[in-house]
Amino acid sequence: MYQLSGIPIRTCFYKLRIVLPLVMAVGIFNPFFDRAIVIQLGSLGISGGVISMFTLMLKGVLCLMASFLLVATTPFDSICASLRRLHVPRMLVTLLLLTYRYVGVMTEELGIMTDAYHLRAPGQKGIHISAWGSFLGQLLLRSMDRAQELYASMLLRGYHQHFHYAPHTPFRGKDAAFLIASCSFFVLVRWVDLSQLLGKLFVR
Amino acid sequence: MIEFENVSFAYERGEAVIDGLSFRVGDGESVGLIGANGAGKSTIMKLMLGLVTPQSGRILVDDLIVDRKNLAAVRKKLGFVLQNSDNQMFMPTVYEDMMFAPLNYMLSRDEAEKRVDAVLAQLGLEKLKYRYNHRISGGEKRMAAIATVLAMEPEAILMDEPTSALDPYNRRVVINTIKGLSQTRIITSHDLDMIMDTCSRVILLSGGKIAAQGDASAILSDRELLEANHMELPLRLQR
Repeated sequence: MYQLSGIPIRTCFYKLRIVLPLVMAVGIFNPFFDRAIVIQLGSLGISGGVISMFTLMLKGVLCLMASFLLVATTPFDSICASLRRLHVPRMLVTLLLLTYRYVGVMTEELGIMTDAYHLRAPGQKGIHISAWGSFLGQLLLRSMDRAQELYASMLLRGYHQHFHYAPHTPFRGKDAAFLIASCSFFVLVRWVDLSQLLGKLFVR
Repeated sequence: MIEFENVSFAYERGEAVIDGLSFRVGDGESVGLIGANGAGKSTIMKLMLGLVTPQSGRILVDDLIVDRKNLAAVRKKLGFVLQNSDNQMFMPTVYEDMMFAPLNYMLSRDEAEKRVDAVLAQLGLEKLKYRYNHRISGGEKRMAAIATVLAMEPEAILMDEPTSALDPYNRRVVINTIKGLSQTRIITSHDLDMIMDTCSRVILLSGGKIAAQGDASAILSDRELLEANHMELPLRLQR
């Protein structure tokens, strides 16, 4: 999929570097709870806990990679339009879209405030804990002001709780090919026990 | 036609920001609202647009009273260019931002796109069409903000400080654009040179009341009047 989309997989891991440790932390205690050895690699015994830990990590990483691929290849409007076509409630989709927009507004305000802070606190690393309360309060108030002005701008241009999303692209030959290939794969794994076949490569 | 009839307004439990204000702006007129900070200029804009409601008096836009019932119809007639273009442009690209209003007013996508193209051509902004809003300069953003409002085809355009924070070149571009518009224009600004260039009539506000109104060149060349209201002569008239 990454090859098809032309997105270097390195970029994906670079962008996901912040959340990857959290994913890695999932199932980290499994080896302590399930110590039964299920695979013997020479003198090295691998417990069920270790395997389940790696399975969880792999699943997490794959989920993140799939999400990144979706976000990197599809404009957010199109994602929202697709959600609407899947009959996700309008309110929920609008909320998602506006949250996405307002995250930008909030980070912009955060950037301005952080710059202003550092210009008057030279040499200080980060924001001092004593300033956190007022800093966050100000950030909230400023973001609310800006959000209100943005919302007013939307209302003044006829917004009535309904976004007009970009028209969806027509179903093309390569979409059909992708659909057939992915359906065939899922049918295959439904009838052929691939995990057992893979397992047999390691366990007798 | 926009008319204020004895309008008063105060923010919650505060002093009156607008105090018994009455004035009229005729079709096709270009009127400048000037006054010191806190004189009530921006509040007048908000009142016209129904963003705030007056405590007394009434506001009429083309014989429609600005109230909850007529809000959608009134807002369709008025286009508002905000002082901060970043707050005006909330869609990812200039094109999507310009399509926003026409689509909301139930134009088909083709009709809306034709309208967007016509406005971009009118303002010479074709090159901005697919640019991302966060990647264009301040001057381009201001012009794009005007374009998004023109795409609504409003009968009157309200502008809050349209030349603030612009370099001289972009300021001149915006002034020429405003001069070229045929709609009724109401412009608030501290840039009195720009007001002199774009407005035929001026309303001078002070403490939420009209201190003077009349011909732009007469009011803007009255040093005593301006200084009494915490303003100065336009730069071109200063020696």
